[in-house]
Amino acid sequence: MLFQLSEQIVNGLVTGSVYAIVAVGMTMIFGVLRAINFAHGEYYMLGTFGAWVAIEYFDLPYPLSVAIGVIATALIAMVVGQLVMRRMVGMPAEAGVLATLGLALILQNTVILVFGGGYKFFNGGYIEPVTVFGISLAEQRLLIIVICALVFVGLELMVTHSRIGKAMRAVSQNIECCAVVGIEVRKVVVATFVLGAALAALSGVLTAPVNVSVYGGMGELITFKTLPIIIMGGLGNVRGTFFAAMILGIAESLVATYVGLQFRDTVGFATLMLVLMWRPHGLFSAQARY
Amino acid sequence: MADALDGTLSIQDLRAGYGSLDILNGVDLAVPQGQFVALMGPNGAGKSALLKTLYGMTTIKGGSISWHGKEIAGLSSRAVLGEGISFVPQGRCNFPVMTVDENLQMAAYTLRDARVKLERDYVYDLFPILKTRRNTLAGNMSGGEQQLLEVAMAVLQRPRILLVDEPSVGLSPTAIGIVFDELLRINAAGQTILLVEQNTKKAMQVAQRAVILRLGRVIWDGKPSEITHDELGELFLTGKMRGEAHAPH
Repeated sequence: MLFQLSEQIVNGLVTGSVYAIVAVGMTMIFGVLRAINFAHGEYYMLGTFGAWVAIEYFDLPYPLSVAIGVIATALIAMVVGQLVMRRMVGMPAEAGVLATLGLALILQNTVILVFGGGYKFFNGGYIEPVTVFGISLAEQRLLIIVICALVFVGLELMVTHSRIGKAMRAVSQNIECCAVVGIEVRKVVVATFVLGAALAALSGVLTAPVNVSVYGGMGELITFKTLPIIIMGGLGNVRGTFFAAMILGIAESLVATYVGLQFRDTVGFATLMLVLMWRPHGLFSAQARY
Repeated sequence: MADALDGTLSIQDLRAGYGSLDILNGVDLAVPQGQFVALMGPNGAGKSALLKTLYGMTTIKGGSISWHGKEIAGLSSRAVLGEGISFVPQGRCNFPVMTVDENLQMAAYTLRDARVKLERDYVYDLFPILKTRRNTLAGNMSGGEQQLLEVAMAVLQRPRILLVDEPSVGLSPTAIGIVFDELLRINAAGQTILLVEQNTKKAMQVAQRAVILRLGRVIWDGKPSEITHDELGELFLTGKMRGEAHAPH
């Protein structure tokens, strides 16, 4: 019983790590743009497809496919950033909702048009089991947890030490003041957006060997899992997002095991409602951005 | 007239506003190097709009801004900053969840890496209080300290002219005193300052020259000692001095 519980918690941490890597990008983009990126899950999907193409069509090894999936997504995000996201600076919130929903449709349907709408088998990754502290899990799951930790340490160092990282914080804290001190807000917005999309892609490519199947509509679910996480984490709050993702990951895993698998996808919004009743501003302050 | 003065900043017939709304209706003003000029006037006179126009933040409809012989009307804020003009806007303009040190780094954003530390140390020498607060989050400091930080952020660029918009807003009398003392001190060290201030009493004490705007035009320009407070009030309200058909230009 206790063993099963700890196994489910570890599974939850894996799921939480997947969510955390996607959600942190979405929350950072919210920080600089004050807009929810409703297309965020699509970059998760694009990354996965990029890696799938590399493996399926070019027979490349998994690690190289990961790099290709992430880089290809970053390039697409750069184009989207220049054409769409940078224009959203100073725009009303509705503009962001419409633009990103539109982008979600375009990206998703382009992939379906090119590769077809069916499920594809993702043949890569490390699925051999390993035993850690008496708990047996696939190597890939362990890899996800390790990479999630590295991503968050890396982001923390970036926003506290690098010039662009500090500029991202600056834009999220006082956009008018950025114009006064000469920070190019639009460039920072595009950089944040590309980083966020690349992280979503990374999460997708890391999860693909676990989920096995790849399909055009897979991003949608991720967007709607990520949404409650970033709200619970305090919109724009990176550390809050990490903890909220872990909470949701573990809660989903426990509900799937002890309540029923069919209830798993309702956990996010149910948790969100409970949290908001208790703390209307989210678990973590939106003030303490980054 | 503006061009008659030996101005390093020479504004002629400047017309500008926000979008289709006209605020400045032909401003003429010249500011020589080293002078401390207070811009005063009733609400809506265009004082803040003039500073914002100089800093590339409004829509220019006509006229010229000559800066050391170069036309800068219509340049972006970043380009204006590069020309040696710094701006301290009205209201809180800092990064509240960043330390004083990080705020100064952001103020040095347009400078090359080698100069960032140098200019930061220069600011710490100029405002020792900020050095003692270097690891404090800007948002956790008092209003007066935040205002000093914002002046420091602008001074860090070693501007040839400092534009300051209503530094006294929301501050206690003590804090106002400190902020104005600091402005006087950096002016004494050679810093040209163009100040917009609602607190006319304070502004008249510190500035060497008072310029009064009304309805987007300069209606009075002279030494603060040449005008009494009553006359100033009269000018604000009517645009004319008592017993005069027209205010001197």
